[in-house]
Formats: sequence, C-alpha cells, structure tokens
Amino acid sequence: MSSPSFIFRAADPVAPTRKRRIAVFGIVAIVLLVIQSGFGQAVLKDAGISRQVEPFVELYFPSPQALPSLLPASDRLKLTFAVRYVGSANHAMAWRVSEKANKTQIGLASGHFVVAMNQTDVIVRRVRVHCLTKRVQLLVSIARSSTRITLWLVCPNPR
Amino acid sequence: MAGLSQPAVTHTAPLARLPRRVVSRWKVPPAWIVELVLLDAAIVGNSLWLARAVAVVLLAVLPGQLLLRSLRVPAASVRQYVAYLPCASVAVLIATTLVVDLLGPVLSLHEPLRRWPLLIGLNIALLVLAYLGRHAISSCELKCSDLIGPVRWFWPLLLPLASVVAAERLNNGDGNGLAIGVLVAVAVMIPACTWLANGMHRRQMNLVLYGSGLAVILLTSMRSSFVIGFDINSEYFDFHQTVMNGIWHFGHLNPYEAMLSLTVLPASLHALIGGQDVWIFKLGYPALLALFPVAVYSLGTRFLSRRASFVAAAIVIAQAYFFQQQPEIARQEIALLIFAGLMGALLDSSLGRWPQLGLVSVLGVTLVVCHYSTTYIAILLCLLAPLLAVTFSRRKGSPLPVLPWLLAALVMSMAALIWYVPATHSGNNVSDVAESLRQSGIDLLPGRVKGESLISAYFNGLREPPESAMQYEHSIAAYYAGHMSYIVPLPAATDPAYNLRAAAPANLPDHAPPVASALADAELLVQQLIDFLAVIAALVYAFRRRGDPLTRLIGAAGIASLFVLTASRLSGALAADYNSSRLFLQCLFILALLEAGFLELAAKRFKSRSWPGFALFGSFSLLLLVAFVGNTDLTAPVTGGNPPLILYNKGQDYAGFYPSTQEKATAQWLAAVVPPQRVIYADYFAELRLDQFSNLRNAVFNDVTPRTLDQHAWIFASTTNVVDHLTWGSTNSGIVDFVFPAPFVDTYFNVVYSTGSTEVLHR
Repeated sequence: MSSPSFIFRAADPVAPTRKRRIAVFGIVAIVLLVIQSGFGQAVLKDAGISRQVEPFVELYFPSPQALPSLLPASDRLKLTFAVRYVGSANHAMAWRVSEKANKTQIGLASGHFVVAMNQTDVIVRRVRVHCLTKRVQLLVSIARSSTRITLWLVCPNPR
Repeated sequence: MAGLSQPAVTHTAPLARLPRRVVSRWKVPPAWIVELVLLDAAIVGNSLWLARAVAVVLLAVLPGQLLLRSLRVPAASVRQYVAYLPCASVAVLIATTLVVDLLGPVLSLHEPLRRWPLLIGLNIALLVLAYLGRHAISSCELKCSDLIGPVRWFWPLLLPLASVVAAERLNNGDGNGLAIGVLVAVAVMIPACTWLANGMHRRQMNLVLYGSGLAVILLTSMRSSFVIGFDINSEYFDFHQTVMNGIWHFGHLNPYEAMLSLTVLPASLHALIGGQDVWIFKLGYPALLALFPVAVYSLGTRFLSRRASFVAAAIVIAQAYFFQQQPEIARQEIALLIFAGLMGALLDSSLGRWPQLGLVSVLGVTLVVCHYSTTYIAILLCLLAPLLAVTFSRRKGSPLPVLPWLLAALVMSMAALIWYVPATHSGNNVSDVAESLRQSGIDLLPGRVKGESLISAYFNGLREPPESAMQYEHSIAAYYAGHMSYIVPLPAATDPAYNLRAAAPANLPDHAPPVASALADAELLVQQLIDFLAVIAALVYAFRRRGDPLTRLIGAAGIASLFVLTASRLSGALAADYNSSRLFLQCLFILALLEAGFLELAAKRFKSRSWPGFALFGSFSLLLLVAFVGNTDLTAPVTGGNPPLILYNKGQDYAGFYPSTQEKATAQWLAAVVPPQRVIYADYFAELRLDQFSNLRNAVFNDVTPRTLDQHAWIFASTTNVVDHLTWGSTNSGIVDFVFPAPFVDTYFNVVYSTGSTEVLHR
C-alpha cells in the first residue's frame, strides 16, 4: 500500500492495458501518416516495397484497319504511326523505318524526338520502298528497345 | 482509496429510483455515437491512409454492432462467435447501398454510388438501427474493447503485414526470402499452437488464426498491381464498371452483374474507403475471407476443446483451396464468410428464438445476393441436415432445434427465386445444370473405363491422358472446320513448317527429385487421409448414441455435406457445372470440425492418461504441416520443380495469371480500335487480360494455331506469348502448352501495336 503505483493499479486494473492499446494505436497512426508522406514513400521505395511503375513505349498504327497491303506503283508510301510514352518523366527516343527482305534490312527513314510523359506523338513520313522482293515487310522500331510494328506490302514492280 | 474502487455502487442506487424512461436514456451507451462521428470523419477525409484504416475498422464493426443489437443478439454470443460482426456489417452495407442505389434516381441523383449519397444513406441506416435497438437489454450492448485482447496478443497481425511487404518485394523483382519466412512462420504455427492451444485464450487464438490465414491469402492476392487469378478478372471488370457508372440497375443481367458482392458492395466500399478500386478485391475481401477459419474455431469451441477447435481451423488454413483459389474468386470470399455466419447462427444455442430466426433470415438473404452456388449448397444443407438429424435420432428423447434450419432454407429459397428470376433474370446457371442433367442424365462416374470397379473409378475421377501439341492442333482444326465455317484460315496454315511444337515447362532445376517425389506422395497420402477421416468422423457423429442436440445436428450436417460432395464426385454433369474444390471448402467448414472432434473422441478413450491425446493431436498437426508445405510448394527452393506464384516471378501460374501494365494498355488499345464485326484471338490465359481490362467478350477465340486463325483475325499476344514464346490450348484433358506460332503470324500478319513485351497482330 505504500507504493503509489500499486494503489493506482488496484484502483483501475484496466488502465495499463488501455494505455498500451492507445500507445499501439498511436504508433500505428503515426506510421501511417509518415509512410504517406514524401519521406515515407522514399523509404518504402528504397526498401523495394512501394509499387514501381515500369516505363514503356506504345508504338502503333493509328488506323490499323486502313493499312495498305499493296504498294502504290510509285513505290512511295505515306506511313503514319503513333508513339506514346508511359512513364513518370519526358523521354527522348529515336525511331527508324526499315525495309526487310531476304534477311536484309534497308533503312528508309529515321528521326528522334522528345515525347512528354503519357502523351502521344503521331509521326507521318513518306518513304520510298525498294521492293527487293515481291513481298516486303516494313519495320518501324524504337532504338534501344524491342518495340516494333510491321507492315507487309506486295510490290507491283519487284526489282 | 478504497472508496474510489466502488463508484458504481454509489451511482447504481439513485439510478434505480429514476423513472424508466430516464433510465433507458442513460442506458444507451454513447460509444456508437462516437464511433459514427469518427466513421463520418474518416470517410470524409479518406484521402489519408490513416483515415482509410479507421474507416475500414469501423465499417467492419459499427453497422454489425447496431444490427446485432437491434436483433437482440447477446453480446456474449458475438464475443464467442466474432464472425457475426463482419457478417452483419456486410449485410447492412449491402442493404443500405442497394436502397441508396434505387432511391438515387428518384431523388435526381444519377450516380448514387458515390461517397456523399452513400455516407448519408449509411448514417440514416445506422441511426434507424440504433433506434430499433434502443430497448435492447444491456447484455446486448457489445463493447468493441471486449473483442480486443491485451496488446501482447497482437503479434500475429504482423504476419499479414509481412506478407504484403513480401509480395510487393517480389512484384518489384526482389527476392522471395520474406515470403518464405512468412510461410515457415505459419507452418511452424500449426504444430506449435496445437501443442499450446488449451492454454491460449480464445481471443488470442482468434488473432493467431486470423493473422496466419490472412498472411497466406495475401501472398497470392497481393501479387501484381492488378487482380490475379481466373474468375476474378471478369468479376473485377463488372465491379469496375459499377464504380465508373456510379449506379447499378436491375434488369436482364449476367450472373456476375447480378451478384451484389461483385457490384454494389465493392463499389460502396470503394466510395467510402477511397483509394484504387482494385484494393477492395486484393486486400479488403481477403481480410474478410480470413475470418472463415476463425469462424471454424469459434464454432468448434462450442462443443470441442480449444486444441481440437484449433486443429479444425488449421485443416482449413492448410488447404490450397483456401489460400490460393479463394482469393481468386471474390464473390465466394464474401459468400463463405456469410455462410460461416449462417452456420454459426443455426448452431448457436445461446441465441433466443427470435434473435436466431432474425439473424438467420438476414444472413440467408445476404448470402442469396452474394453468390449463387454457395446459396444452393447452403439451401441443400439446411434441408438435408435437419432431415437426417431427425431420422437418425428418432429414438432419442431431446428435441432437435430444426426450425431455424427449415426457416433458413425457406428464406433463402424464396429470396433466390425473387432475386434470380424476376429481379435480375440471372438464374440461367440453374437452367444450365437442369439442361445438362436432362441431356446426359446424372452421368455417373464419367471417367470410368470398361471393366473398372466403381471404387477405382471414384478415386481416379475424370482423367484422360494429356494431348500432345500435334494432337491438339489436329483436333482443334477439325473442330473449327466442322463447327465454325465462318472462320477462314490462310492456305499456308497447313504448311508443315508451321506445325505446333511442344514447349518446355519453365520449371526450376530439379535439385532433389527423390525428395520432391517423396514429398508429393506424402502430401497426396495426407490429403486422402484427411478426406477419409472426414467421412469416418461424419458417420461417427451422426450415428453415435451419446451427444447433445448440437453435436447431433453437426453430425447430420456433416453427412449432408458428404452427400453433396459425393454427388459432385459421382456425377459428371454436376462436376462440370460447379468446381468441386470450391464445394469442398464450403463443406469443410463442418467436416473439419467433425474430424477434429473425432480425434478428440479417440483421445478421450484414454481417460486416465493425457499423453495419447497429445500424441494423437501432435501427429495430426504434423500431417497438416506436410499438407501445408505441399500445398504452398514451400520446398520448391530446395527441391526444384514448378515454381509457385507466391515465391517466384516465373513458372506456369506466373505466366498465366500475372497481368502486367503493358498487357492492360494493349487490351485497352485493342478494345478501342476493333470494329464490332471481328474475330479476336487471345489464348486461354491472355483472354483473362481482355476480361479484366476491356469489354471484349464476344467472338474471342482461344486457339492461337495457324489452322484455326482466321485470315482477318485480331491477335492479342500477351507478355508470355511475346517474351517467353509460350501459349496454351484448352482440351478436354486439360491445358496443353506449346510454342507461340510466331513464325506463322509474323509472316502473314502485321504487328499493328507493340509495347515491346506485348503485341496486337492483324491483317
């Protein structure tokens, strides 16, 4: 009876449990607030826990149903393709159009540009196809990436 | 000081003299008002994670607390069977959201399933429930603090947290060490807690079971940024559509659209809690499913020792059906919880007649709108169990409380009839079963070969030798030619250069084939032993002479469960219409208890000695440990073989089920550009991406082979197709793996879309 703490416990035996619960809930609340902050997110990222969005490029023909299958007699073709960058920052990239026939590739056009994040750039180029065989494949690719789209064409005047 | 410890005595006397109205006003505890205000504040500020956490806890507790009080369910019953609380909360949330959804357009709200209308609706519903419960006696006042034990008991909740971290690390390409650690911890927990169970408090054991169950579930559900599994892809699409539309309509709906567990409930939870909607399925529903083994334990403690009750719950946790398959079927996650609540109420002798009938009716109707198949099985069990119990115990004196069972069957049947037919027109699954039964009869033991005994055919089930890639190519081409004349393949498709080639399985190197083989055999043996023990236990409990009404009813429910399981196993028609493993998990709710009860009966034979009981339960817990290790493939890092999804970023399940951001972008692009009249090809697993991320459902074919590809097809090529050069075909004997026919499609189709790891081809 001489110890004040003993008296306190005897008067309210539930109090320590309640205090501990409040302490635990308080800690959980603080942790939740901290990990939602920029600092917390950085810590989670360093620990490999937060979701990391892997950037990638979408390359496509905007009108896939209207693609030609026959090359015009002039051997010239207006090629339209679109590039969209899915990532967290602007991205510089280079593209290339080539003609593939008999295991050889001939460059027809190329370029580079900066695409804003989550934005689409449409590129239109007129290319002259060499038509080394009766059926040729045009290849549009992005440098340093496996992203590529293709278009098969029948040449009216193969060389 | 002594006076300070007795304030209640000095306050009780004056209160007793006050008029009755004043006393009843004083009786109303203000706790629920504080909780309601806190809930409102949390929902309003749900952009903060802290507010979301508070909202989640209060949504799980407060609506149920008020509903149970209004039904006059004693607080002691809820403390004993804690699953009542989330079940009742789910019932209130579904009902409230449905009312808000229906009243919204009347009040010129075009999107009622948004935060503010739902919050107002929830407040009104909770106030009404509080008003209905105003005369409830004090023993019906549940204090949430009574559900929480000392802080030192909270440690099992660290396991789910570790699981989330482990899954995220694996998603980000880091190691699987933490995931292995979680599995080892749960594995060790099985024998350790079997040993310690009788000395552990019931609430402490609830936390251990909840933490362990949720931890293993989350290792599956938290993989990928998207939902993962099979059915859950289409389920998520319907849920997401409800979220986008902000309203749900009656009408001619497909079964998924008609299930409120996939539309109204998750949309409401999403609106109230905030965050991305996918989290409701990845984290919210698993958190509810994890109460299933807790409910098994709670029910067990009504007639078994805590050790036997724990073993019953551990039987459930050790099943792959529970921690691997169920997180991939959202509708059944909720339905199993409600089913557990229903069974708990039916077998609860602590409830008065009216509270029991009220609770059974509420949960029965909730089950009807959550999942069809679980409802059908529940109706069957509610009819069969009392019938069998009365039949078996005709000569016994004590009456059996069968009325709640019959009422539950009646309420569910009536509710199902109304909901599935005039309300949503979605009961075609019943007509499908009826049609297949009409066409092929019960189709007894369809896998039985000529001269094979019935028992052998029963245990062998449906088995056909797997087809080779070439066999598949020829059979599927013949099928297309015979049944789909509108598909016109290219002439070059028959060129032998484009014949399908078998793909090598992406297995881990076999480090110890004999060990792996021995473990697989042991696991099979243990699983068969568990099944066999369930049969024996159900028979023993149903036919034993001694026993109170509760155990006799549970025994009869066990026999009814066995009847349903056997019918599903024997009949090809029934097996084809409902996955037997999902049925098994539902029936295991009763059978696991009977198995543990049977062990306890055997242990009690040795009255004077305690060691046989220890030995019996100890041995059985080791068998469960073997089953758990086998079902989780925890030994894969040591023995090699097929890498499990919960531990590796490779393997069959990873290739088939793990969706990527690129696949989402590709599916959405395809949905935006394809014309209405088209044929789309996506292999067996790639189609899951279309299901999850697009509305492309019609004219989608799975057979990406040269001889079945239409010459004007649109081909959705998944990451596995493009990067791993692997694809699948579906046959009667299972899934066949083969090399993606890139040489053919690259030669005759244009790649019209690419992300580097996914493609769309068309010509």
